Amino acid sequence: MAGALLTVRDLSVGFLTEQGLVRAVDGVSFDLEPGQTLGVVGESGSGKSVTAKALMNLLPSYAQVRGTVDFDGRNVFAMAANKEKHFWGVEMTMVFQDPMTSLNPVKKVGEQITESLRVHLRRSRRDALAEAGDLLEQVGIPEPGKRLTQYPHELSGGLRQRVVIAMALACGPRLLIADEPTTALDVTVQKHILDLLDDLRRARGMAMILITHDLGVVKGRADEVMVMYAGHTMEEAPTATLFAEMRHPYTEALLETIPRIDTPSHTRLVPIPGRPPEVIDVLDGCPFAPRCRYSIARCLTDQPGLTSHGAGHLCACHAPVGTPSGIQARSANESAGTTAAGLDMGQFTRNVPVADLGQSGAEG
Amino acid sequence: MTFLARRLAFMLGVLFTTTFIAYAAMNALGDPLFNVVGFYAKVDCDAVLAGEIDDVVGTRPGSSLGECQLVAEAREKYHLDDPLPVRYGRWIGAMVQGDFGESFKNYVPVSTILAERLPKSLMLMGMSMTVALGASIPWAVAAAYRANRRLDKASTAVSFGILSIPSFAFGIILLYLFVVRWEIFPSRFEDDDLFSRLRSLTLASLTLGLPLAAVYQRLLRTDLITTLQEDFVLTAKAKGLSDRRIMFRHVLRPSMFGMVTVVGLNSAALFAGSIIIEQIFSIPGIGRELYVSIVRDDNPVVLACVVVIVTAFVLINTAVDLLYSYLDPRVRRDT
Repeated sequence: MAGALLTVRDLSVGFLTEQGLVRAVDGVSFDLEPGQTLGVVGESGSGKSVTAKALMNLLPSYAQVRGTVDFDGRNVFAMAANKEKHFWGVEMTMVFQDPMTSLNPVKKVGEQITESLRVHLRRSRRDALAEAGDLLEQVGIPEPGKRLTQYPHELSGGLRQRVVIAMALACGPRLLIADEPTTALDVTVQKHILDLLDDLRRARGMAMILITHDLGVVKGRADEVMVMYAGHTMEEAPTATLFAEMRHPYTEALLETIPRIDTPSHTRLVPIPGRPPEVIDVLDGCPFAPRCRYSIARCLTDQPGLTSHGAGHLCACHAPVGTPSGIQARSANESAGTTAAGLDMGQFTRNVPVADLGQSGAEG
Repeated sequence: MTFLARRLAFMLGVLFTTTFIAYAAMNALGDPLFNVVGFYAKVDCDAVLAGEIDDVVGTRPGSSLGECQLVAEAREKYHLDDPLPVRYGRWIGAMVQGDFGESFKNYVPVSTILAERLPKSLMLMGMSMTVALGASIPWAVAAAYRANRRLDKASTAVSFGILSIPSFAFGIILLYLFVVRWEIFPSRFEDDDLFSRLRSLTLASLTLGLPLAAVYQRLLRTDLITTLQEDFVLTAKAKGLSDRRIMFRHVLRPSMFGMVTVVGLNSAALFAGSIIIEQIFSIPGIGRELYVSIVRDDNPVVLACVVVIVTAFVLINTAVDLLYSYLDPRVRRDT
């Protein structure tokens, strides 16, 4: 795509362990336009954080990274090999999950924010401190002058995450990767931080990759959503399209796990049965097949590729939700009582009917 | 009570306790009177003065009177008839006022002996500490940066090698090579100017410092590797900082706790080690003086040395405690 800020093609990350090669990320591709937000959604171990770290050149040296990543036409991995100094932290930065541990406990907040200004932009100490004060104000921290002289342990979790964000924004990046930026925070603080990130992104025309396990977080915040599972892209679509006509059974299952405010209290939470696969095993079929209500015989032997389901909507599934093949697969599995992978369909009888979840009827 | 005042009170408590134990031991395990006057301490002077016996062997009538005079003078001078706590009180009181007493053997004021000996020992300690820290910090950083690679494995082998050689053997090897064989360093302590003193203490400080450097290196390397796993290191990398900057500006300081603690505790080992090392390298320092004085039963000198060593130890460890709050601001909170 022309004019993309970030172009990722066929990104794979492997870790060689004693049990074999762990394929943490397997053939992920996407584009990100300037100023756009991409939501990356998936369970723990789906490879979303590893993808982010690969982009940031933060993976340990023993990680086997393949594929190409271009940032504004420049090859990111080539820059990493050349030890490019003023790229990471300047044009592309990252905010991590846990603000309790992502700040250096022995350095003052001011020191930590001014550091990248001084290293990358060669600001004087005084100018950098003034800028750091401005940044703290932008991220909504009261009394910035006082905060600059405090240590991280003197701040609350929400304030710390704001400091982390201010630190990331210091050099005016064009792309911010936020890796579960609110997972470690209180629910009430979560919304503030997400809204703050959104406002800052808009004000600065910055692109953002928002990584989360919560589909609810990306709804209304991301322009595009990529759903990952076991290192693979399962579905990718503009956000509105994804929520209106999701095609992948995994996306559907993820959405069903979110408790809804209008369900009666004491309704059981609905987990996705089973566990994510050990990605050490070489996968013949679809990695989600063992946990999938729609799985058919072909899912076990033949790994589905991404196919188009409309403008910008890609999905890797043999029996996509809401399509004739998907509807047929699910009703066949329901009447048989088990899926092709041997999953007991009885596990789903407790579920809220899918039709209630407000998406196009999988069961008609 | 503030942190500092609490530390100070604790320090004084340790000082009084240890000096009392040392003083009591010197008086209870040996006889100070014997140490001063020798075998005349065994003469039953009460009997001599009463005219019941004549002298030690009872051959020359009246000849023991002079000796008994001496014994009586010694008892009087050193207040040996007072109870132990009173004597301790008098001794420590004088000590606090800077009066260290005088040697039993050559009647030289102990303060003169200390003034002569202490600077050399302190210089040796300082140099050994410099060797230990100066070598261990860059060494640990290099090893942690390349953890479990070839350089790190080689450095582990070297540090275990150094640790497995006893310090006196290491000292003698250095002495043989650099003094006897190549004649690079002087064989005796030269006290002409600062340079000659530094030169005379070089081998001794290497002997004391290198095994410590090996220990500190092991400790710091492990802590550095642990700190390198912390999330804030990832944050620092994401900020685009260089590995060198991350290591020295972000990782080193929070990793120093373990090492700093051991540096403080090891300062005692440094004093103990200096007793042997000063012998080997013929350095007229306090360790050597302590050794000689113990052999000669020179109580005031021994006790003065103990006071100096204990004070230094307590001071160093107080400094270490204060250093913690510099290293980690979170420690300051409960002060």
